[in-house]
Amino acid sequence: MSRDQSAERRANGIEISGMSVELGGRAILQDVSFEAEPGGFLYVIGRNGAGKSTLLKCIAGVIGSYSGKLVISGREASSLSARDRARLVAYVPQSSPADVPYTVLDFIEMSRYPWRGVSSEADDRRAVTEAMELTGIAPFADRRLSSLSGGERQKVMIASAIAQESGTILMDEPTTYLDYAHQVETIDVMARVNRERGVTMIVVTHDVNLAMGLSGKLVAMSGGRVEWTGPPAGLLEPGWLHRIFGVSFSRYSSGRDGEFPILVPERGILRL
Amino acid sequence: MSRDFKIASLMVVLPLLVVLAAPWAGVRLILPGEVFGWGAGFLDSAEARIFWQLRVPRVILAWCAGATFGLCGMVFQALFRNPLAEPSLLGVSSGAALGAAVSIRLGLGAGSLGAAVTTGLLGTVATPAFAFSGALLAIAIISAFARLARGASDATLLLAGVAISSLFSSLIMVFQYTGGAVETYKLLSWTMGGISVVGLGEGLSAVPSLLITLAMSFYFSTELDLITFGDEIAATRGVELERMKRLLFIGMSLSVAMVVANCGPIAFLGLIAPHASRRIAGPRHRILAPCSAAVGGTALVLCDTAARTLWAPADLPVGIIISFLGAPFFMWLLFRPRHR
Repeated sequence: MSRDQSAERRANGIEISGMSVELGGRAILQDVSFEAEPGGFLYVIGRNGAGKSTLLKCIAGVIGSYSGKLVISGREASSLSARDRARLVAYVPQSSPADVPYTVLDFIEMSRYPWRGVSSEADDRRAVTEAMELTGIAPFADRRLSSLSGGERQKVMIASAIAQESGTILMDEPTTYLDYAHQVETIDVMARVNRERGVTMIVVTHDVNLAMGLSGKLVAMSGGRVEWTGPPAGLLEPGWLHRIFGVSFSRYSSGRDGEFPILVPERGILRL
Repeated sequence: MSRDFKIASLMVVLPLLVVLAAPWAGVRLILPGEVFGWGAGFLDSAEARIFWQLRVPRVILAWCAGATFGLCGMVFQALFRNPLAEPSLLGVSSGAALGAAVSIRLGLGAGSLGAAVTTGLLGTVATPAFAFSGALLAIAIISAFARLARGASDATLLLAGVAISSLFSSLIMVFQYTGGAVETYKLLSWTMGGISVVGLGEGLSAVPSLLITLAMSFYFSTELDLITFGDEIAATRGVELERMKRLLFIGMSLSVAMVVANCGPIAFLGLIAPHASRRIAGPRHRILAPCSAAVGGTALVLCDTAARTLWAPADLPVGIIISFLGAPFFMWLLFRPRHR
């Protein structure tokens, strides 16, 4: 079986309809509905506290108490065992523990856990090697996680999700705490995993410029609700950005023909 | 690979040497010639009887008990993601001790503890069963607390353990204070943690708890690795968290209870063994587990040998020696910079 076919076989879609979540008596998500097509790339954008991370945790299975319908790869999520779910969906949390004494290689090998008993040792090794090469972490495979910088650790977390070989990868603010070089590398890895391996990507971010570079679908959230869904260009219609982010943006253009918009929040440049 | 092999051989050779050497030491040094004498029957001499009926069973019990405490400490440290978690610091040991003390006061105690020994099935089962209930109660309180105070610091959880520990200890003291003189003395020396054995049967009494903890540690070794990274990572890698935690809590409580019912609550061993092992073997539980067992077992045999020789002919409760060595170790653990 060629790489393309196996990627296609793996890719899976996610359908959410009428999802609501209440935590500690507060409504965090209200009647959220959207669909992520198999093999697609989807950004979820919004302000802090808009419910983006909660949404991702529900899909990942970290939060189990939601109402509404969540279908992963055609299967009702509540009927999935933890292991089956981990075969379908991998999750890269916003922050990862910094003080763990394991080596990078140890940790990436642990991502093969959901396939234990099904996958051969050779397959496990191949998955681990591919993930480490794709993310460029092979040079520090033997270092301890506790000795890595934040950017390096983020790459390790992404490599771990790739090695898990699930059809969908969920990422929570993957670039927020990274310097520019690491941001560019991370975006590149996300794009390659999506295109070359056919993995469905659902990425949460509050970086509107990151989302503008997307060719896929965008879900904009505010106050626990989905405000808007569609291709990024539509978000540039007057009023929408302010409605979602609570601040107005000035628009600049970049690229040879000015085809890439750059958005800068007004009064965002401080003169101290 | 070769590193793993070195660790493995160290973990086999060293404990074996200690275990083989320990039974000869005691109030009086026994020489091999006195046990394996020419032409004499198996248990003919007093020395041979002391050796086979007291010393050897005692070494076996000490080793199994120490190994169990070491493994339980390792599992609790992983489950609570806290380097200071340990059966006695979490109050599990004192929970078990309280249960055992209740059964003794009710006159159900058996073996080396029972002042008025109730023999038979009731006697041998009652004390561990009560101890198990006590240990489970402590675990239930601690994990409920850990769940309610989610996000609370490591220190909070441990302080809760300390609080539960002293609550249970005060109840034990009530039993000690209100009991008869003989009973009180027995309870007191037992709560200090001691290993006293009559016969091979008692010597083997900690084998089941060791087998339970060892089997569970191996079976859940990858899960224990994953949970070190937090519930979110473990769950999204496919670990059935609730099931795993429930099984481990029950298994560990049962094992701690069985050991405590025999030897009393021995503190710090569950802290020292896994930490020392981590320095030798690294964090992966597949190799850390046998290491923690070996270090815990060997340490308790060494301390117990010291306990019966240092003040000979007096036989110190081994818990005193462990605490004497363990308290400074604990301080060192608190003040050392984390993860060089």
